Amino acid sequence: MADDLITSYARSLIGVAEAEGAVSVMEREMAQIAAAFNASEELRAALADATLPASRRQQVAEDLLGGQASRVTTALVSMVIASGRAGELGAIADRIVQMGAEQRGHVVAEVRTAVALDADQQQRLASALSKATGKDIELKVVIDPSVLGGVVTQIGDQIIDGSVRTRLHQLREAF
Amino acid sequence: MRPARIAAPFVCAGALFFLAQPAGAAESIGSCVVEKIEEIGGPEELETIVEAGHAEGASAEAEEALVEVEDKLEKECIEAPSLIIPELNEVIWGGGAFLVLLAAMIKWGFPLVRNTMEARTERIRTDLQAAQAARVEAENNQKQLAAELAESKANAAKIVEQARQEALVLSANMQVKAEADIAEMRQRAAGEIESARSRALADLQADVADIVVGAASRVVERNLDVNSQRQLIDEYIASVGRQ
Repeated sequence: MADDLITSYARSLIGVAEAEGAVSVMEREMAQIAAAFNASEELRAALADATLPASRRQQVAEDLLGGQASRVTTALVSMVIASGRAGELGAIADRIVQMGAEQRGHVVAEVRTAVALDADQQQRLASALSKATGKDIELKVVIDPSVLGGVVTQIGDQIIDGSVRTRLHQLREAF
Repeated sequence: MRPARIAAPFVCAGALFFLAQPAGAAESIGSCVVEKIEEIGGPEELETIVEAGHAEGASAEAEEALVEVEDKLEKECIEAPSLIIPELNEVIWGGGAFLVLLAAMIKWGFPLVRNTMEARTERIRTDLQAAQAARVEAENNQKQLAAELAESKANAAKIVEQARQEALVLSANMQVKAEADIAEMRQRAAGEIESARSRALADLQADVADIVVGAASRVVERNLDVNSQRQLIDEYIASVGRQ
């Protein structure tokens, strides 16, 4: 039920972006918003706090996105918060990215790293993943300090883990 | 009814006997006196002799005559009959009464007595037989009781012996069970000790691993600079590309 709700929201937001002619921009910005939302507990708590009026939470989101996201993306995020679905904002953004990639015949690979990847690294990683999977890959980069170092990639149910965290866990298990 | 029938002949015989004896005796004394008076000379002569004999100054002959008359009457008529030989009339009446009594006794008395005696004998015999039977029964009962008592004693002894055997078996079983329980408790305690030791060792290993990994993590974090991160990412990209 919740998955259907998230898909419906994602489809509606994509429709609005298509009407505004800003789908690609919105998808890219939504990917960044999803990464930030999923990474920050404080941000999730602030936007989903039911004790605050929706208008206040909308103002917080618009202040955060102002100047960094397009007008359409900011309006759509504000609309989700006004609808009382701020808690599902990350999942809706992820679904938008996923549906956009699927529409283009691509597969989204969630890449977690401790530090940001530069453009060259992203291009080389996407190429390597496409070669390994035989599919066109679009990266969704998530900055996750718990990775410590290296990269963790998830494509659907497949996980390619090359993180220092996992190596330390393996070391821990070896005792 | 029976005592009356038995007593009746005796009563009749007794009555005849006592009525007959005075009549015979009265006739004998009276007739003797009359006869002797007649022999003396009649009542007048007897009276004359008596008066002459009792008169004052009576002659020796008168007195002698009076004594002779008195002796004659006394010795011959008034003198008591023989103590051994009865008078004839007594013999007759007594014999008749005896015969009547004997006949009555033979007719009614003896059968009654015999029947009574037989009945009594039979009753006594029956009583004796009953007593004998009772005694035999009592003896049998006593024997049976003795046998039952002996059987009861034997059963009691058997039960006691069985109980003793069961107690011995139970004691042995309890001892075996106690030993088994002790062995099980020892084994369980040994297992628990071993388990506790294993857990302690595992906890120790986990703690050591946490310390080591934690130290390694801190070392890695301190040493993971930008270049190291880039190198790790490049190595990852290269490894993915080789797959």
